Amino acid sequence: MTRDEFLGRLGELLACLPAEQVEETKAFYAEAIADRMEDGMSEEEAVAAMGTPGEVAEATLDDLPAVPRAIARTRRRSTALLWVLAIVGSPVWVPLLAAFAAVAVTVYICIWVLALCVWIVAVALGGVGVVELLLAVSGVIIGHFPYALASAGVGLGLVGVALFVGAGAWAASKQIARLSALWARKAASPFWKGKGEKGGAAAHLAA
Amino acid sequence: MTSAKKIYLAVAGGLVAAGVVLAGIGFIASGFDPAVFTTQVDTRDSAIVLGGVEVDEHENIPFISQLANLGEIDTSDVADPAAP
Repeated sequence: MTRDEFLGRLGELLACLPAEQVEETKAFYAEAIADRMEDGMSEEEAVAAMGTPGEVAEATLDDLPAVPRAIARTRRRSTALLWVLAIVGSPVWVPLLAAFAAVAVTVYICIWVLALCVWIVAVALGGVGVVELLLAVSGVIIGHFPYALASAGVGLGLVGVALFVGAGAWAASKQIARLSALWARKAASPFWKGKGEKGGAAAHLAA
Repeated sequence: MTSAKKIYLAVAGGLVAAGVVLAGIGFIASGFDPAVFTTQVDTRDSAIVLGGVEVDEHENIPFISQLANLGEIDTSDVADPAAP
């Protein structure tokens, strides 16, 4: 099988995917074949090293996230079947998708509410500390110095604790930002795969 | 740890330490009276008690006088004029 035949057949088998993705996959394998030919293989040997177009197409589909993979496999059988399943199954998949989105968004919000709670505690402690310092001034004005000292002490202490809690809140916010990004990637993983996560084709070639 | 963070934590620690010392001195100066840590502002009759001492003339005290003048919020039922 020549390189053009291989790429043509691969294009036919991947017709269920968006044209841009098909071209990207074909370009990847064309480059892989060219690399092997540069290393001294003949065109037939280099194409044979890729595996059959069917195996390559399966590896490409396996590399897709779960939902696009299911759509592509169904579309490969029949586009009409895909539409029939989409319409007939809509009472099931639409509520499921909505529930999934609701849970994903709720968990994301809950993660950030944790950070917000720590910040609220820090601000509340600081606010009470400032009020205590104002009360200390009142104690001085009425001439009740033990009260003024005690209030000033409590106020300064609370402001100090608020600064400590603020530092903790900042550290917690950084960790929570990391956690929320991780969660967002996890929640989107059935539908979308990041550029850096592509490895199916390369893994297939390595095998 | 950066020097800014060290300074930040040192300031926080210093404030807490100073606060504990001042509060302790105030407590001792009051004769170990726990009431020295209390503040009562009753907006119903503008009664103000700071550290166990009732303040009679609170108009000259900033912040406290504003609190005392907040007044009472009326939460009683609205009278129906048509009611028998």
